[in-house]
Amino acid sequence: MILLWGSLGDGPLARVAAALDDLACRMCLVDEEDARRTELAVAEDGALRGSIPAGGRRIDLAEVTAAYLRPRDPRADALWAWADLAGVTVVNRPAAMSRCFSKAQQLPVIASSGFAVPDTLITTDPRAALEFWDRHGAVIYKSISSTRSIVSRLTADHRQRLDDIRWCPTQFQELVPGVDHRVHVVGERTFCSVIRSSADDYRAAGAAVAVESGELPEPCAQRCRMLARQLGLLFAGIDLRVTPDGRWYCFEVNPSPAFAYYERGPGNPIAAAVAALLRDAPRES
Amino acid sequence: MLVVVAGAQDVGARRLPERWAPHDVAVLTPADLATVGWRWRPAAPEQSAAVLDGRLVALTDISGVLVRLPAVTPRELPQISAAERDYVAAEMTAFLVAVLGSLDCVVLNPPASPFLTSPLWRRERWMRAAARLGIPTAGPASRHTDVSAVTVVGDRCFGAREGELRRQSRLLARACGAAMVVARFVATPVGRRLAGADPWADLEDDDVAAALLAHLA
Repeated sequence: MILLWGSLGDGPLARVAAALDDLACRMCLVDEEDARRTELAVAEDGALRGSIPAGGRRIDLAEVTAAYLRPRDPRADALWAWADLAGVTVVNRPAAMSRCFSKAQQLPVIASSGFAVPDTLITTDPRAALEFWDRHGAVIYKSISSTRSIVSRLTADHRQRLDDIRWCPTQFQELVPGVDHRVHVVGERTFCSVIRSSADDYRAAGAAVAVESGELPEPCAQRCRMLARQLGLLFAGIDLRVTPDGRWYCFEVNPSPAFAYYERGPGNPIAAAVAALLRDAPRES
Repeated sequence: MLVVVAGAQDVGARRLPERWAPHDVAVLTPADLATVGWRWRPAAPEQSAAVLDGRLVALTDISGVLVRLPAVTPRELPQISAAERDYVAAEMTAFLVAVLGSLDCVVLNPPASPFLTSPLWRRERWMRAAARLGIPTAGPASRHTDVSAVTVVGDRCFGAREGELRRQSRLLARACGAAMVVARFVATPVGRRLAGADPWADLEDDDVAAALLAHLA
């Protein structure tokens, strides 16, 4: 039995559910309310025992062989705890997803995987931000936490407002020119999308974007797999950019990628790969 | 310099600079993060600086850190407009997680994202770790009134006199890889059993405070 935690209104979860259906896998969908009614206990021998309501009945968590988590509100503590501890394949473990909470903390891990990372300054000092801007000529700013933010380029307008950073540490990075690649790692498989856009952040509303399947050089694919492994992620969305002189930069790793956008067109059957990963998941000891 | 990361209302942490004199000790509260002067460059640690008690301090001058705060919460940021408080709290937490994780000195205890310290495990995880170590555990009673705490700091143990509880606490600290852990045991009809653990040592305890200083300095 494969547990899906989330809502069918969520694109990625709906696609994985459909792909599991195609594979004739048994699954149970657990919504936010069901999740809050999880019962979980740790036996004297350390074994986890519990059950969860789904589809009008209670399911013994021992029946679950794998799980895909896309909760909007993960405050259902017992199920969140089970997902970290259960000896089954979980895409992805809460602890591993939490490890990606700080983009700034990801940077050294990314660098250790062999990718270039943009020069970064986090500061509350307007003067330091100006020096950094002058040094690089073109600079972007973005959130430090996993809070969704649009990557924006510093412009002349920002000069007037730079004093505002005194209230909150703000992350600045050198602007790296090049072509965006989004790589999804699913177990040992990688799927690459090439994104062509003139926007600073192609995900911003209104940006003109062309997305197509792409080929990733094998050394890059290896680095992506290694990076996901280092972060403990079975499924990851990795943001890369290749510069005109062929240098590969990595900006961040998304531990719960909303991949539907990148499945347009052939060559990137990501949901099917996630479904196969869940179906073939071995039980862990 | 030693740094104590704490909430503004943490009285025990506020007293540490005096208690640990003549060591140079600064208390870092969330308000300090909304102060001009912070600079953090992962590629150039020598150019990175913090603002502590109004002083600009090179991160390389920090020799030890005690963390008393799980995360920066919106409640700690009254100076930030209400609409921005949640976002700013998350940003400050993510920033501190990265900074504390990058320091080349003793941090009690190091951050475990998304928290500023560790181990902040859910009850089930403690219970499972304990069961695997052969440590008897208590059921999830709603309220325990008779709690005995054992604080482990490095190789030293404080609190309960029972040797067995101290042995179990050391085992637990070793298993979770933390230099500082407070194991909490509750009284049950069959003896004391582990109810949980956390990194919140009692700073009002002279022996504990001295051991923390010895470990950091």
